Amino acid sequence: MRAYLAVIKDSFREAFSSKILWVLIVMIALFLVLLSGLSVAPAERTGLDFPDVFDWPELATRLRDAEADSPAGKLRGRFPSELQDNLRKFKLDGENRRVFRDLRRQLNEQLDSDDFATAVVVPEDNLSDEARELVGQGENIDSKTRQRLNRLVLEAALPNDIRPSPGEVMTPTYIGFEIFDDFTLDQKQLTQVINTALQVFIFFFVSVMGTLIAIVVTAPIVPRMFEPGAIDLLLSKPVSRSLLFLSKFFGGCAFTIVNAAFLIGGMWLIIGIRFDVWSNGLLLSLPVYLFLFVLYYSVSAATGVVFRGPIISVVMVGLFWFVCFVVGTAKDTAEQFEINGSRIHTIVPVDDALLASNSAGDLQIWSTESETWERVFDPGSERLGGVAAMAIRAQQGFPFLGPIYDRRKQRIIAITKPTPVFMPGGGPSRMYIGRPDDNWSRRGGAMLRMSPRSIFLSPEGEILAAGPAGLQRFTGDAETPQRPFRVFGLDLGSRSDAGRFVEATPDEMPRWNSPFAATIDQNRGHVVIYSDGTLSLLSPEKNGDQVVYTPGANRDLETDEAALMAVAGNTLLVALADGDYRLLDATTLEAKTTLEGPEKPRWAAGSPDGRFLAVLSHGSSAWLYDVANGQPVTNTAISGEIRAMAFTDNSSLVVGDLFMRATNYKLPDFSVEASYDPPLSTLQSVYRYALLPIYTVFPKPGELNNVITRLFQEDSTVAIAGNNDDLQADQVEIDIQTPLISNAIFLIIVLALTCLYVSRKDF
Amino acid sequence: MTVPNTPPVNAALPDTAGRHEPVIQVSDLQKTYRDGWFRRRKIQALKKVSLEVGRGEIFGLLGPNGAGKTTLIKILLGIVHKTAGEARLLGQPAGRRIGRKRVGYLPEGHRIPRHLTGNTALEYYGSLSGMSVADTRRRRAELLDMVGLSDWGRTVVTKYSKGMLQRLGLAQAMLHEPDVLVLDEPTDGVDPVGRSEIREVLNVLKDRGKTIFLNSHLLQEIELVCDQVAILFQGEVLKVGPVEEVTDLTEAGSSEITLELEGDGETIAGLLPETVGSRDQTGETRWRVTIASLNQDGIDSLVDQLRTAGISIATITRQKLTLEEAFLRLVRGASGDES
Repeated sequence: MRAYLAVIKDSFREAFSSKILWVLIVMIALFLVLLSGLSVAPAERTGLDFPDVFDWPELATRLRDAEADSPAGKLRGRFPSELQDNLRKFKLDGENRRVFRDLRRQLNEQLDSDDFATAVVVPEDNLSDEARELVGQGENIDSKTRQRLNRLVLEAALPNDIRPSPGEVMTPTYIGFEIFDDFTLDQKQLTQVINTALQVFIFFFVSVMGTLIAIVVTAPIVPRMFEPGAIDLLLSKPVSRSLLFLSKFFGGCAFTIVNAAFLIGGMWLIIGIRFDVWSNGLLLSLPVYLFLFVLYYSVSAATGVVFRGPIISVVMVGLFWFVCFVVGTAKDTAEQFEINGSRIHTIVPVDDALLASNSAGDLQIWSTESETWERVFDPGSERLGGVAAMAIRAQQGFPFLGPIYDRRKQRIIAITKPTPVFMPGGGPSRMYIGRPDDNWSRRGGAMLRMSPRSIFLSPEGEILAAGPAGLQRFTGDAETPQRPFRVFGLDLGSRSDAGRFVEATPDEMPRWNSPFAATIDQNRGHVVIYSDGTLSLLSPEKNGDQVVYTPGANRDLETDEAALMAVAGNTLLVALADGDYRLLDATTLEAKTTLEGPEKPRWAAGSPDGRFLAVLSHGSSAWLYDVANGQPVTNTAISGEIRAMAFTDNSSLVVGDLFMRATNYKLPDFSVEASYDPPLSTLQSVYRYALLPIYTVFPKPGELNNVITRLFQEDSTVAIAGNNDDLQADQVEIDIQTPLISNAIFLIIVLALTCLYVSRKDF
Repeated sequence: MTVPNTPPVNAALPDTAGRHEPVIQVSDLQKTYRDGWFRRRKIQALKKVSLEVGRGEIFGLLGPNGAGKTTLIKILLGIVHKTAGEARLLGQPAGRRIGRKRVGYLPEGHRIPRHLTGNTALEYYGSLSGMSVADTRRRRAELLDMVGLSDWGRTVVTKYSKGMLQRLGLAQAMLHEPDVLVLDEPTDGVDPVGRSEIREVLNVLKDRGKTIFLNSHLLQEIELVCDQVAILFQGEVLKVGPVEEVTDLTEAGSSEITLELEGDGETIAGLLPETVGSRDQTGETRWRVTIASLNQDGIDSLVDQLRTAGISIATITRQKLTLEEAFLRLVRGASGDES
């Protein structure tokens, strides 16, 4: 052992004798000195930006309709007459961007004024603790504090429109000087910004540049050891050849360890001290980076042993990287353009037919004649292709809420997800209808102003859409075409009188908070809302010829996890993101029992006969529960990579996997009632039988960056639309196991083969 | 260079047959290298080599470049794998770690990592030989003094001359007090004074009972220090034995004779035996005659015949070959046979 430790010790001695090491250490030290100038100073959030308002049209509507003596009315009264006129004339379907711009500017002017808080009188009960404390300080407050008070008063005056601002915020500084004007972050945002910045830094400067420098610098170490005159002296000593090589190999990492530890350790300390963000992810990225380096270095060392030249070692590492890059890119490209989009995503049993959608949102119907899927519900001229479709998919994932089947009217209903208007195909949410007698072609197009999270039908057949902004129901004719108003291809809204979504709750209902989820109890017609850990039951009540959903029972589940809900019979399932599943009474919200389920559920439903609850997770694992005993039902039919499930009317379970394969199982014995197994396309076959096996056996050094990404965030999956609170939204799983295992196997194989070569070679 | 006055250790005593117990035994050793694309070309480096080195001996291995000397050493140390035959070191099959533990090796053209100093190099190689750092530190001053580098311990080896590197290499070979020293061209790059000092060290080591296996081109050196020598040529041992035996290339009891004669040239020519090597005229009636092989009876008879024919014998000298001459003759002879 002593001999091998001596080799490792010598490697450190060699590293410290390297001039390059000292140059790099000086450069890193300089960088750390520059970094230590960054800090944050306490600040106060004043002023108003566009994202500070939940919904600008809603704010404009509220200011338009406010009573003159209400806080909102008093605020409107302080606006210049031109803006007051514009607000009076405000219509939801008009060209409103100028009004919003003027409104924001005017609100900011008001927030700067000295008498805002006294002029816009808000009942003290409505004020936050911070605002009350500032009011208590009287007139002797500086202008910055007054601006803060004004902002708090505005939040209290318009609680449903203005996003509450945190009390404790900071602004970034450099050597004590503020970097940006009016830019503040709370501690959570600061942590997010720092983690994102660190992730980018680790990727570009450590994983890419660091590895490149380290490989070039360390390439001569092993060839130098195997030079004639050096190796025979070493081999004459009583040491094992393999262990000698391995000691030199791991000792060769000394250079990289010293530099990386200095850089990452230094950054961790400085960021911890200056920002109070002690990032474990940053510290743990050190061993991950070293593993990445060791992987490349194994190729360099193996080449060095065989060819005994540093240049060829570097060339071989480059070649290795290139081959891995080509294989990985080929797989990713195939997945991005075709494969991911063609996987089954949603199943919609329709009377005696089966509809299913792939992840790209192409709804298809199973043709029993051709035994394959045929596309329906096509958007026709609105259809996007190629890169535009890929960009939309990357931004929002599956493009619909639903589709759901309206048995009463024999039609499917789907709501498109809202996307930023500047994106190709972007625009607000719209509802589309498809009917079998019209070959399921897409019609309608009624616009929703809110961002819906759930769509369902009431027992009376009303279309309901729920989101944090409220519960809305559709009135009018859903099938009358409502074409988007397009300028340069951008969907700028427009609304028709033929049909529209209106509030289904009493006036002045507060917004619900995230995490948010909603479902409907088809037996009783209750809508169940999950908002920030609290369940609320909204009961339908007749108000003239309309149904209004009024709040009833509440239950605090004492959690802040995101959730999904489903009702089976009299049982409500609340599937929390952390795998803690709660069963409650659907009428009283009384807790029944808890059970363990898969983390990150993405779909949940109850069987129409009320006997089963099914859950599908983002990790593609599917669970079925027997409602009677609250126990999971296990069967191989729901193991493997399940991608979609649905209950049919007669409570059989349709399970979808692979690309577009689906099987209908009769419950509870899982006997196959029907199967839908289309042939694979050429690209799918190439992917499944060539690309994927090659990719599986190949090392994946590039994917170690996934591990670093994972270190900087809590969750193993990331919502592609950036909202982890919405469990139904598509998420990308950050797979850290596969790259770690496959790279470790590759490393072991390379080192074992090199050891074998060294032990058999004549030197 | 000073040699510490320490008592001999492991003093070797001859066995009853007059030879010391063997520490190196090689019999019918063969090594074939494969080269070229698909390793189809064969190069036979050793062809059934057999030799034996006794404990406490200084053994010299001679041979021109490419004779297989380094291959033989590397097989003994396990650096190269044998193709056939047997090689044993200190009673162990060649290459075993237990055998290598008791061997010090100085390879030809050895390279010491550039970042090391004399002190750290000895520390490094000492640890590789299984010594603790404390033991190495205890011994290194004495050793550096022994090889004349006592003032250079803290200097990085890049500042060393070739001769100094050679001395440091010798120090590392002796560091762990091995029983056997295998030295490949130990005086390469060393000046004449240094060579003499190294010779002195070798003799001291011999006195301490160490076995030394020496491989050198400098035949005078070998002749001065070696008890036994072997001449290797194109993978075969041409001759092995004590230096006196190797340098005696005549038939048993015979030797080379040189005579300075005075008299008639034709008479002299008529009396000389068939084994006459050369006959050169050095004066009007003076001749120098060399006879390659002549035993004592032949000498007596020739003297009688010359005197009877009236030829004066000015001098008569029995010639002895140097190791270099013997080596060259053997190698040239083997080359002639080959051709």
